[in-house]
Amino acid sequence: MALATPDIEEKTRDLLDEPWQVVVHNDPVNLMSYVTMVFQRVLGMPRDKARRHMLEVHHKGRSVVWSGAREQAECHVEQLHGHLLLATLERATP
Amino acid sequence: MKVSLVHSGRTLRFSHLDATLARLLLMAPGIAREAASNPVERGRLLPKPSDDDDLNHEWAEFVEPGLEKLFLSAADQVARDMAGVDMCPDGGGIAVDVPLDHADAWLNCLNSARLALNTRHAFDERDMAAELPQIIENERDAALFQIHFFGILQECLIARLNP
Repeated sequence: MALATPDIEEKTRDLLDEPWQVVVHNDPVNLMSYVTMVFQRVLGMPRDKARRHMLEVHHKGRSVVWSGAREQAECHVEQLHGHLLLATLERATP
Repeated sequence: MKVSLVHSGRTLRFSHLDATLARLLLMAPGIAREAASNPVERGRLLPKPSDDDDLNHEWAEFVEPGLEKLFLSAADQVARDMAGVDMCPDGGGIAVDVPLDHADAWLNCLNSARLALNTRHAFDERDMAAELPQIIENERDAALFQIHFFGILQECLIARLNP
């Protein structure tokens, strides 16, 4: 009797393809100038865009600063943590 | 306190510091290092990256050690840079030199210290926005003063690095 072949490869590919997003969260300590600089350096944002996202973090408590493949999202979160920002990765909402 | 560029623009000098400010600054590497071994402060310096337990577990095993090493090496660099500070200079006014090549380490160390102090004393947005007390009467007041003082130094570095 042949065993059913599990659909592992297809599910793995779907999981990796699913878009993820990097979210930065507000905290009362990090300086606005510092957060702006980190966004420019880590995420390659031009200054105006970095400032907009910084202000969104400041006023709304969080900002989605990047979305894309999970592996790259993890890399960005690691870099943001390296700069002591509060950052998380989550599945992008459709 | 004065801020100036010296050594052909390769060093940022914080000068005319009094002994109190200099001593508070000298504490920064120690505060940053201690945070790594304090569970609550460590939790802020090394936060969880997600709500997913599996991802968080892998993060703790494979990513956190590198981040911890980064923070400790930044603290060590700042400690080395401050090792030669003359606490009793002729003419008064203590100076601390920050080689701009080490600016990232200084930003990291000062930020780690600020976050550790904030976590230790559970300051909230209101505490951070409040006017500093005229007289520092307790450890909590001193910590809040340090957070703001280190923040000023960070702003000076950022102004140089990201004009």
